[in-house]
Amino acid sequence: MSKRILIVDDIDFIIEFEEKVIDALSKELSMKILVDKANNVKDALANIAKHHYDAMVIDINLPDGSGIDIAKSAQEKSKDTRIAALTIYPQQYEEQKNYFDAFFKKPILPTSYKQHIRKLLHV
Amino acid sequence: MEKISLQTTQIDSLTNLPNRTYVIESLEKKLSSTKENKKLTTLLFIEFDDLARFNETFGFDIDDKLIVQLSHKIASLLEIDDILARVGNEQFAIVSQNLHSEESAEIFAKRIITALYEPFFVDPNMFYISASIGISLSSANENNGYRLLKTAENTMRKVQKDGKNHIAFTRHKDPSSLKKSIRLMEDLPAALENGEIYFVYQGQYSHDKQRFDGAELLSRWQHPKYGEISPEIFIPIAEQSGMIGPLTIKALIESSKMFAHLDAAGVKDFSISVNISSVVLMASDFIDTVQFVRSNYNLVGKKLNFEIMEETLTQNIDNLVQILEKIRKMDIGIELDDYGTGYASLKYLALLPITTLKVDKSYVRDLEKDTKRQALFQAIVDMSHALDIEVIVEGVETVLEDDIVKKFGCITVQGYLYSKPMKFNTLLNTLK
Repeated sequence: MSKRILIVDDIDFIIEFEEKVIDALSKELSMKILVDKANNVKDALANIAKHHYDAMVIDINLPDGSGIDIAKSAQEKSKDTRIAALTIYPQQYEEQKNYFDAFFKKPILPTSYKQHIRKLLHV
Repeated sequence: MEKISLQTTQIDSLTNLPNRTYVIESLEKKLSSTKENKKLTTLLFIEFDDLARFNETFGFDIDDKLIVQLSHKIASLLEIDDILARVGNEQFAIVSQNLHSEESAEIFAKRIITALYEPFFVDPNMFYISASIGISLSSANENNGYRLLKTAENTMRKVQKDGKNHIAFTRHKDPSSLKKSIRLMEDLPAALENGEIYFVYQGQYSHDKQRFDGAELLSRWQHPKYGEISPEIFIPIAEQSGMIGPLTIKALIESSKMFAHLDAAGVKDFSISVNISSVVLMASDFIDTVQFVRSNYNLVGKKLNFEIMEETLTQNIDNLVQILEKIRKMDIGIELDDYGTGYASLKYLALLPITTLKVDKSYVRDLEKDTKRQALFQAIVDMSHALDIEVIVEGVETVLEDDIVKKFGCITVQGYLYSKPMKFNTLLNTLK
């Protein structure tokens, strides 16, 4: 069984950190988890058009728009994709909770981020 | 959180936490000890908003499941000797002697509110929970636990009238300083991302090798409104708000990048020391986090040191020994910072796997005039060397101080005479 995740953030060291934590989780679970990365809305939408994703972790504030637009687009393409928002203040986006299956709070720590990803992927 | 033996009349059966009866009794004990140990006793009264309404939509016992999750979430934020109790259906109380001012109590309350920003899951549903918190602090003459509890509860009721997710005190001292601390706490998570928090390095000069052979990594915060914020201000705020863990990870990742630059520049045998707060060191996920960062950011085989403060030695010593030994197994050095300022008795040097003592700068001042201090200084150096512990002398600022320290056989010094804290590139140019 393998999974594919899209992570979207405009800050490279956060993307790098998320990818390393997901890779570590992949090894722990002996499960292939492919990670695609995007720094902005445009690249994220291009990825969504090309691939099917089991899950996404999306930063809400992006330089060329809002992560909410990415979530809407992902939902239109597939209802199966589980989508999490990554934000410093999840409470501010409560009204948008219909677009997300979960809110992950920044900054992230390896242990809790792994748990969140497992919950998101149902593994 | 404090481990307590409870009688059945003192236990809340749902959460297994102490109940209101126990809190009032323990408050009175703490209040009487307040006079002896001069610690402030703080009571936080928390009420969650309308949990019962979830039952109407999602089933009859949802509120019970949420209460249990909430108790775990709040317990995870507490210090080892804090007391958490369930004092009403949707009400918890925290008794703490670890909050040293109104400011730290309010920051802690804000941290609880912030922790509730993350949703709670009772599968398959996700719930957002808000709360109101009233805080009362013991005055010197207060000895009535019931009165302190009621004061906090009444304060919480006033907060609820103003709206949800608020915090209030029975009294305030300095609203402007409090406002600044709260603003800093709110800005800290973004500052970790946007480059306002950055790092500088203070070189450690080895007389033996006649060059810098290491550096201490120090964090700085350039705030857009308040300018340069001293670490003495923002590190305690980071500790109280739960941001110290992410800040430490950022520092470790920074060190890995600097080791890569050192390798590229051909600089060998150079160590980087990262400060580790006792709050971080004693966190249950710390060792896993270090293992993760070390193996994923190429820190294996690098000369990495963790600097711990003397005050860390007030933690449970058995736990501390285990944690430090796990760190040593990862080939990370342990430096005991500010040695000689308070807590570190000699027995700790034999018990703990310390690799380096950093002798506090107060030992260096006027050393040439004070023969008693010279004898003490010599004893520290000899004892450390006998225990195979290295010595770094901090705060060396003049040639005279440096000459004296050298005579005592101290081979490494850190201080303004050799290096002010500087950007890494500047340090690297010095090393080339």
